[in-house]
Amino acid sequence: MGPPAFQSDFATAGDPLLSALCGLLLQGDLARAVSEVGRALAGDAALLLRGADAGATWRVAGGDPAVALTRADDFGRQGVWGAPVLHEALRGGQELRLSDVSQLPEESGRALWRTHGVSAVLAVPVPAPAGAVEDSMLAVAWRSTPSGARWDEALGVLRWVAGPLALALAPGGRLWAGDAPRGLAPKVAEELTHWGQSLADQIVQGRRRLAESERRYRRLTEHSTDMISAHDSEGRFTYVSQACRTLLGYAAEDLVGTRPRELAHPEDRDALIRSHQRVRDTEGEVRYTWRGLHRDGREVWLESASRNHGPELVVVTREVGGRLEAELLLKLVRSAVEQVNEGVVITDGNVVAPGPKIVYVNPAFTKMTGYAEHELLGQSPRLLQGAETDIAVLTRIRRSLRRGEASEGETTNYRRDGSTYLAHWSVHPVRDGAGNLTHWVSVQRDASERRADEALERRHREELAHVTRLSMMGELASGLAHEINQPLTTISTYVEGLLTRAQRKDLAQDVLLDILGRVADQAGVASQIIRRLRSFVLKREIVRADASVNDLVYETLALLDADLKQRGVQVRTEVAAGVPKVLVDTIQIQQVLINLIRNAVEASETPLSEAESARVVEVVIGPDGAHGVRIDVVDRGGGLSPQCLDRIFEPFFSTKDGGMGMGLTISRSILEAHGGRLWATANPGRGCTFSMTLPALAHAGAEKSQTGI
Amino acid sequence: MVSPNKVFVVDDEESVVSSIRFILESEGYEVESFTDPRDMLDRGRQPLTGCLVTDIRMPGMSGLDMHERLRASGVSLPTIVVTGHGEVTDAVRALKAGCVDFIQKPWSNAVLLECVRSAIRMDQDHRSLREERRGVLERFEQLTRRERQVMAAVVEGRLNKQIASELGLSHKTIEVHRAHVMSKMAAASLAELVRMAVTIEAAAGTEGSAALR
Repeated sequence: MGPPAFQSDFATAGDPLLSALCGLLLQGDLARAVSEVGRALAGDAALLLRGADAGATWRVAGGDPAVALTRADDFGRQGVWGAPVLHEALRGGQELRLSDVSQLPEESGRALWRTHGVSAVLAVPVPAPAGAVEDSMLAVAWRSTPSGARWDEALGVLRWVAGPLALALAPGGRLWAGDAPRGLAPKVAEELTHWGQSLADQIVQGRRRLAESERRYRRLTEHSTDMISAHDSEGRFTYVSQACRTLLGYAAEDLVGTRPRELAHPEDRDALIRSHQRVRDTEGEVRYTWRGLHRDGREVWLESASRNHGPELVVVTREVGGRLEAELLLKLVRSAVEQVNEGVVITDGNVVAPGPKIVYVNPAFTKMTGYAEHELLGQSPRLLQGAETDIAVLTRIRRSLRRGEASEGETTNYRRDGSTYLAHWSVHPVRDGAGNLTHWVSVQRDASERRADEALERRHREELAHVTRLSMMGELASGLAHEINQPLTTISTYVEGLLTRAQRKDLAQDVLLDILGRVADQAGVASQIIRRLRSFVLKREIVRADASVNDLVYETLALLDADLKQRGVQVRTEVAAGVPKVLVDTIQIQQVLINLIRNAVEASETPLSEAESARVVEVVIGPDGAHGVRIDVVDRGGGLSPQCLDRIFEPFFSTKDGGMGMGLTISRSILEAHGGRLWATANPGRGCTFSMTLPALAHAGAEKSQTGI
Repeated sequence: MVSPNKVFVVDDEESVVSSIRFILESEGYEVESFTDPRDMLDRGRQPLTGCLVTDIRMPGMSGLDMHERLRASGVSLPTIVVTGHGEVTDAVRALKAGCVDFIQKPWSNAVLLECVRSAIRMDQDHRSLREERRGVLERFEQLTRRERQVMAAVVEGRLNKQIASELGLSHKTIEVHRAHVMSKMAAASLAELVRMAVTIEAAAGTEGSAALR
């Protein structure tokens, strides 16, 4: 029995490292053995610790061939090994497995290790052999955490080495000093042989099983169409299965050492980093979808399932089902978005300052704003705001954005060249599967065009109203001629009379003055009629002013007076008390009144209405609720059939021969532009009633700003 | 006593009424004016002379309606219709209704005055004609039955001899009746007697000399 048998036994166990270590320990060369452990495990340091009070703590700086055992009094100075957690484990005789020292609480020595660049520590107790006073501990430190397999192997080696170490540290340890195993007691040697042999068998079997399972594991992974990868704490590929070639076009060797984020579509990079962070913080599996970039440049939709395995991350990645359809749909949607006239802006979900960042704009948006796409990407939409932008609207929009709600509004925005346009925004949140707000999609329309359309429509309405007034005047012409004839006749009669008298020298001064006064009055009457006419038919700006409804009706009846007389129809006016004033364009409202009253008068003229009572039209003025004025024009004429009543407000519908059919259409649009209404009802007896309303002066202001008239 | 120079003016426009009043009064006419046709109808209950100037279009009642009602109630003032419209239908209707003139606004004072002057003359002529007719009828009433028979035969141009044989009277007796007829009727000649007979027939509304019998 001698040391060679020992060595040979260990050597035949098939593991050169273990047999070498055994040899060193049997020779009592603790320092080298420990150093060898460190080197074998690719550790940055290996150390043998003994109870601090024994004064025989040793330290071996591993990785460095020139390792040396250090006395305990140097221990504290070395710092790295001063971590309280290590000493606690030593005192408790426990294994210490720290794959990521940054997870440690501060007081455990995290800062110490961080300053020395230590990221993982593995320590196993070395039980005190018979006769020894205190336990020891064998520890290895790494700058970066070994992969899962390496970690397990390191643990196995340390546990194994701890046994021989304990023997070597036994009080009879002298035996190992010098020419071992010469002085080894046969009993001890035998015990050691047995123990060593069984341990070695276990280790070898364990390693074999490990290798086998690793082979099986690799076989599985390599044949899987899913890409299976392992990552270190930094996220770098430490292993990736062959599927990476089909999925992404890279060989496994190309990827090891790189990080998945380098393979991701730029827009998904941040999300991917966040997902990895989530994996680290989670016990279970985390799934996420991302777009990878194939080596040939195309996008690949991928779904990954990740899980923490000790210090490393195991990820299974596959192509997302229906990717092609999704891609096609995406392409379609994208081309639709590129075609629409509305500006489309997509931002990330950030709403706090400096605001969301633009991640997508469509061509309509760049056209609308004058900015190029690259000038907008990464910017906040606040770029478009300026001095004239309505703060109140922005505040309202931001408030709903912060609540994660869709929002809508109109603000004055600025183009790149500083010019302004009125933008109508509608902003909608986009959420991921978990309901987290990820993006905002906003659709922007240039509302200046719409405003311009409204202005155009208004102008058309005014033009039409004017044309209608002209045609009304045409219809009223003979009556108006009579109206003007009256004062003209009177004037000429007086003047001729004066001439005759003057020629006869029969003209007293007082008569002359009296008659001239009357002539002047009549001239006034004539010019009043002309003025009324002119203001009614002249094309002019729409002006709103406050007016009394009574005055409006009176003025209208004055214009219609001759016509009424000619047709032999009387108009009776009834006015309720307390009718408020209105804010209107008086000419347009007069036009409506003329339209309604003349219709009523014409209806009263029809042969059906020979009775005297039928030849009376009533105009009833009264309040409309609390905030308006209502005017009813009531006739006792032939009335309108229900079918006609339904249609009379349609353009070009007329019950009259030669009627243009625009009168009521225009009247209604005039009233609506004033915030009023116009409708018709059949009277219970005969004839019908046309009713119009206008908002009272105090309530017309709001309408004014809305209609822009 | 009614004035022969009286002009009634009806127009709903006070200013028009005043201006007409001014020129008519300047010419020495007496003017009575109304702005409501119904007031004129009330006035027509008394005998009126002169002429009437009326607007055609007035609220409540047209000038023509008023004119017709006045005629119906026996007022036959020559009527001048004034219109601001001058529509042909108005003119035709006015003349058919017996209005004497139709003037359009604005008028010339000369035309209006001429119309008024001739209307008043017409009224006077009418009136004297009526006086004469009344005289003839009154005198005719004085004739005996036999005298009326003789008058009818005379104006039909029969000779005394023929009349005598028709009535079965003597030639002498016929001559006496004839002389009574001539003196009672105050006819200076046979021609004058014939004219009177026409008036009488017209008043009776019968044709031929039947009325005389």
